[in-house]
Amino acid sequence: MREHLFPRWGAALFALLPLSEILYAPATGQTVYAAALASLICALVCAGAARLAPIWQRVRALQWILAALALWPIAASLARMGLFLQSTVFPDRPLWSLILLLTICTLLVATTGLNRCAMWTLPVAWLAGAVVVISGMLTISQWEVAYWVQPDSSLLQETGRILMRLLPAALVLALSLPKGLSSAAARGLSAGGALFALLTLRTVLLLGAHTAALLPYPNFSAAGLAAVGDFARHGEVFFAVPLLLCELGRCAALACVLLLPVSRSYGVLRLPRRADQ
Amino acid sequence: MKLTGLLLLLPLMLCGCAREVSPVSALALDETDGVYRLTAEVVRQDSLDDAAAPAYLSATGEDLPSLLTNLSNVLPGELYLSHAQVLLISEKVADESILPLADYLCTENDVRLSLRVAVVRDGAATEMLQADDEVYALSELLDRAAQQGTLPDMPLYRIAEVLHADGSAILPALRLDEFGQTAPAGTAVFANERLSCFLDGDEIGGDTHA
Repeated sequence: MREHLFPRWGAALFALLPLSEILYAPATGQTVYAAALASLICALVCAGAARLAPIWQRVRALQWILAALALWPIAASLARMGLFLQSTVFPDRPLWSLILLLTICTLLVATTGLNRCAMWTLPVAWLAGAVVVISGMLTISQWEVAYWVQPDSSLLQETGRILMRLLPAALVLALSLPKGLSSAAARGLSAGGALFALLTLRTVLLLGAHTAALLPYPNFSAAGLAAVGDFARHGEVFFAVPLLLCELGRCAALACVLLLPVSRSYGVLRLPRRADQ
Repeated sequence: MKLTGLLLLLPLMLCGCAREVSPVSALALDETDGVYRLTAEVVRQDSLDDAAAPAYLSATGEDLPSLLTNLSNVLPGELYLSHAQVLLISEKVADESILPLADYLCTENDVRLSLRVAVVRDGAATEMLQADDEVYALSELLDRAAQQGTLPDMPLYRIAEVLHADGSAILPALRLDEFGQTAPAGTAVFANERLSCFLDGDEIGGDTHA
């Protein structure tokens, strides 16, 4: 039973992809619409790709191509996570050591196999979603509706920018799934995208587009304004940890795809010698 | 077994992250003859009864980055601005464009966006900072006044936003009363990013700032 990838796990796995973008996305007025639009496009493309997955997986060369394609989003994720940690929490740590640490964590999680990675993404996605919603609700009294902006001509450019980051990982995962998960992929991407858009809207209404443009991680900084009295004034910590877990889950799932031509299994990764025993 | 050993070794990579810090609760910025003076109210908890008490340290410099560097040099621990809740600026500082100041503070990693900025009328900002013996007394005063609506509710992120939007802003103004206590003193109005005038409560229009 544990080697079966249930649709709700698949949906949670895909919901992590837009959620992983939240920490790094800018918060211009257009990002709100662009996040929703890019997630919707991604959901449609991935639903189609997931239907093609069984055909794709029959050809071994295509599996190797997928594995090679997975390298780019993994490297990008590890680099941006490392930079984020260095600029916020560990300014004195060398970047390479943080990336190395994250790589080791990713590989350790990836050795459990894609099924279990997807299984663990379900509580992580719920946790991240709950934190994002609570963070938004705690700041609702400080929102300025006047900061809201209408879509303009830069929307397509912003959508393209988000798609460039979101689509490769989503496509690689969609083409690696067992059959029958196309609707789960679409559901997950839509739900994650909706949260992504809503949270960006919160940041814009809270900080304003000008202030948000000054900040390297506007959504993270905006979460710092969500305080519960004097007790929890550093709300950004509670906000960032689940989102980093989302990104780690995304990296681990992509690393599973990277290892798939070798392991040939969605289950626990076994080295050939141990498997023989 | 190897995996357990590896997992135990992983946290060692983060060793050295613990550092001694000097938490700053409030800042005051003055200017005299083109030289800026930044005073920090540092929270000390080294008394026998473990009560927090303020200590004041100052540094001079040409601009805010150099002021912060000079200030961190005179502090016993690392300058920690994450607990800073108030920045007092003197009228002379407010006479110049405060947009670079707001931008710099927004981008400074440690500074919280909820930092409240207030203009000190008829006196030095450092003097007002040192008038209270209690840590966080100023921030409590400004929070309370903002909730009651007697002073504008303008944290740092809102100041940066309105200044970028059209160069105008209103900030709370404070002054020392005849008993040497900090008291609300109306609103400082900024136009073109510079102090334009003060509005005194019911007196709409206020005194034009010279």
